[in-house]
Amino acid sequence: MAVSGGLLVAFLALPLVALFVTTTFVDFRSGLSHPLVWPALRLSLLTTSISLVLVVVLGTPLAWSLASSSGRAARALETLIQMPIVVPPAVAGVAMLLAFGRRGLLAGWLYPEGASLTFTTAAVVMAEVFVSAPFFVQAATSAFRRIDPKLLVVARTFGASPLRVFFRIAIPLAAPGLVAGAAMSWARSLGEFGATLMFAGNLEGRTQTLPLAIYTALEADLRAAQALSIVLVVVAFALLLFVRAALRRSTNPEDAR
Amino acid sequence: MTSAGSLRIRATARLGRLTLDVALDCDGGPLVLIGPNGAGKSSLLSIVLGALPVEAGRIAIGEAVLLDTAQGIDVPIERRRIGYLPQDYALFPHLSVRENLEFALASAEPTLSSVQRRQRVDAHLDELGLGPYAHRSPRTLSGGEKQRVALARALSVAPRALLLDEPLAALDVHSRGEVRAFLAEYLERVALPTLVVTHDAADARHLARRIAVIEDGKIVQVGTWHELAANPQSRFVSEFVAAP
Repeated sequence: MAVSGGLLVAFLALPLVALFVTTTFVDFRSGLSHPLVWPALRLSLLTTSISLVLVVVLGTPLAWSLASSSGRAARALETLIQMPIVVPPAVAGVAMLLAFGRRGLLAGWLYPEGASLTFTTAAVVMAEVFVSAPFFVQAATSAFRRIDPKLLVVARTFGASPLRVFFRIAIPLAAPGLVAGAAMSWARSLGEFGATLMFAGNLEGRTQTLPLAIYTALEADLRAAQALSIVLVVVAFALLLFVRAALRRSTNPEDAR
Repeated sequence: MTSAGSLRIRATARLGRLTLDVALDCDGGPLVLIGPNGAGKSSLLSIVLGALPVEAGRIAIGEAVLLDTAQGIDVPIERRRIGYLPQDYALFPHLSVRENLEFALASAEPTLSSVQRRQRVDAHLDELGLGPYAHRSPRTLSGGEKQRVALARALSVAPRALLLDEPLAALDVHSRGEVRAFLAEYLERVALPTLVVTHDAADARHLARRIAVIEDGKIVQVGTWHELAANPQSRFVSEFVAAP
């Protein structure tokens, strides 16, 4: 039992260890100075920030209405929203092309002039929203569900409108779960590769995000690929610690009551 | 505090397998609802509150009609002005005691200036001896203290009626008697139509002017403790009044 478990742990840990031990600080520094690096870093920060704002602003009211309704339609909608989590990213890319691409379902409506969103920075944001929104909506919905419904009823007895109850009671009480969901969603869109490659392409400065830059650098300069990977691993690990801390706060009964 | 007039309830509602069919009047002072588990006591509170839909009914407090299915009137929770204390008092855990009251008052009267609101909140806190607790988090309060905060918060918005669901069930044995005596005296003093749900005979006896017995969704008997004890109309009532 312990041996097989140890085997799996070693298997999971070894690639991450390799990422760090097979480089030197000098190589890391020179890897980061590769011309692919900074445009990709800038683009990743820009697009993931925009997609995070879109996901939170549009996803929070959606999660609230999912959490407040118990009907069969709401359950079905919830399942539908979780689909992008299980759909392979390459499939998501094809699906987005077929919906929003130059010859897609909405082409006539989106592009009367013959222009196209594909291979633009906007397409990167769309791909990121598509793959990351479900993580946030799921976390936010369960955070809202954990609120004692009596608190919401009592708030309304004072004359508070449903909107006021939402902003002043529900959001603060669900905040740790919302923050954890936003962090998970951000991590997912930061790592997004497949859908972006297929729907937005790999154009330096416009659609080449960090994961695409790693893929591109791998062919030219392994040190740059490795340096970027190390940056992403560190960011991901920090996010993981942050999410765990936030979720511990939201599920701690002492704090929730 | 001005009397809001009596609370008159006529309601029919289907709650899963239970059909609630109730006619009940409550003048100033507490009316205690007793009955077996699942008889519909808490559901009746939710209906009066506006949190549970009815099939047919009419609910009014004095001149104010809150629900009249025949006329298509169904006032939403936030405009019924009914104070509600659930079993665990439902204080907002992310707000201090003072902020709990300020949230209530700002919801009820959004036009108050912050100075006016502060003064009103202070007055309500002081009335129940809660001044020293103003900046405490509800998490740090005892059950009896939480109840007083919940009462101050409910009363701060001048409700037309009060609904209390098992107000003493969350308390330990030591504080229960003391809090019960305080609550009985306080409810008499505010003189609002008040419904109190309880399963505890001592609570019913000390808090109630009158007791209404609900069994299987119907009112089977209404009367004072002594009337119930002298002439119990059901096995539940005779066992209830026999409890020490």
